Amino acid sequence: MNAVSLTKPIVSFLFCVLLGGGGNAGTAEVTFVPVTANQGIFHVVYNNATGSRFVLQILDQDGDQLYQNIFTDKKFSKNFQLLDPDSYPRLVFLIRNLGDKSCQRFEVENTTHLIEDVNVKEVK
Amino acid sequence: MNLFFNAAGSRLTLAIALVLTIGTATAQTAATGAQTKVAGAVPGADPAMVKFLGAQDDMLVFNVSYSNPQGKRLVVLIMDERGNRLYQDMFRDKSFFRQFKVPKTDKDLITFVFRDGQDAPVEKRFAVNIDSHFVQEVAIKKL
Repeated sequence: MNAVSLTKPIVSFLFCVLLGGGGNAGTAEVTFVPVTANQGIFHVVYNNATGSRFVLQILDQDGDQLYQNIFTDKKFSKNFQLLDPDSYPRLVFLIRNLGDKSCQRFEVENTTHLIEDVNVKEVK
Repeated sequence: MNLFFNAAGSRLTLAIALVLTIGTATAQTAATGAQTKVAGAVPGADPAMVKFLGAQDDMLVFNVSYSNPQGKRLVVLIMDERGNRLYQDMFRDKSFFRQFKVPKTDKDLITFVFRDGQDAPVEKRFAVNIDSHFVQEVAIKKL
């Protein structure tokens, strides 16, 4: 990863830290639900009690934005699915509350392992 | 056609190299097991024993022993499914034991052939089936 590709993740991280890191923010959660062998759904839940505006961003390993939207749901719950999950070894979910200036950040590491079942039988 | 022979040749060379380095080193330590087999050998019993030990990196490991009490000329040949010779050598060990490493392929039929001058050679065949699949691991941490 070169210096240019590192810039975006660092900026987004600092932005999150400077906004307060989510001290009093409603708790957000990101979970992964496997669907098939290499596909799954990211379930994002955010308890936004005051109903203030918040931004949900999804960034890739280079800090490039894959998704951004603004919501005001008090009980936010949405599923996200990547079209090509193998292309994204690392994702960042950012939830920035524009009301209380809180920010919550989730890092997703996606790795694949090759499993081999070796079966050797004597043929009589 | 040349490519076919080159591939077969390289596998043969690889197998031989491995046998020479590993087989000799392990022959002494594993000889106890082989001798047990020889001591228990009875006339008419199967003199050859081939045991699959497991996979190691890109190789399949086999322990091979042969009871040759008269020290006859023993030819050991290993072939793949297509009949390519992976290994061949001649021995006069009375209690032959070597550890062989055979290149791992997804589907194969490994044949060990033993000829010590008898009418029909002793053959041991092993069917190899390797099922490969990727497993995804997703870790999420809150910062």
